[in-house]
Amino acid sequence: MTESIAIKFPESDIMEMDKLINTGKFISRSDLIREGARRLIQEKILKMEESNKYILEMENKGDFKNIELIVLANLFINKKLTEKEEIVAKRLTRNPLKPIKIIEGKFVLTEIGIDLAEGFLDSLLHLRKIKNVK
Amino acid sequence: MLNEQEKELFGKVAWTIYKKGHLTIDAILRFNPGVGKKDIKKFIKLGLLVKHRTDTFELSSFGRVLGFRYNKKFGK
Repeated sequence: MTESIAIKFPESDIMEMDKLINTGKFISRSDLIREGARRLIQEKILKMEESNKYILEMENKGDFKNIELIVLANLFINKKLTEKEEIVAKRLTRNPLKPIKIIEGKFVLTEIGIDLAEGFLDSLLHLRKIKNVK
Repeated sequence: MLNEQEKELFGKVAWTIYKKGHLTIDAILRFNPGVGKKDIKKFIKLGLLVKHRTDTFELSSFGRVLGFRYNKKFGK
């Protein structure tokens, strides 16, 4: 079953499309648009497959149980740290990446600390999506 | 700590190591023409790359997280 969709393009795009059609690579504008859309969809599927594999590798290597990453994520979401987590946070202030600094007695994430926390939370959400966990 | 260009380069290095497994510095440089030895040394110093059993390097936990964040190939 097929379905028709009406799409409007700016004139400049149409001109570029017609140039490609005149080379004989595509038989019509529809043919060209179909091919373009299919390539994009395929690319997106491949990207998702790679992401899934990467996230599962992170899980296998224990990254989601890494206390340092958990501490960074907890600071990012303003969750109160436990005593043990505070010790880890102090240790992280001496980490070469400097993800945390202490300002007026409080732990504060640096730019790279925010990147780590967001990356950790993003990948954790991705893992839950792969495993269908709510 | 890492500027925008270094973040992009690290994303590429992370992708290469993820696809090919632990690699020597020379191999990382060969697969990533835009990356220099100085960049790799910085990534090692920051703990994003860690030594494997031999003279090869792999991603640390922080390295894997930042690799996921900095490389657009990991489609969100």
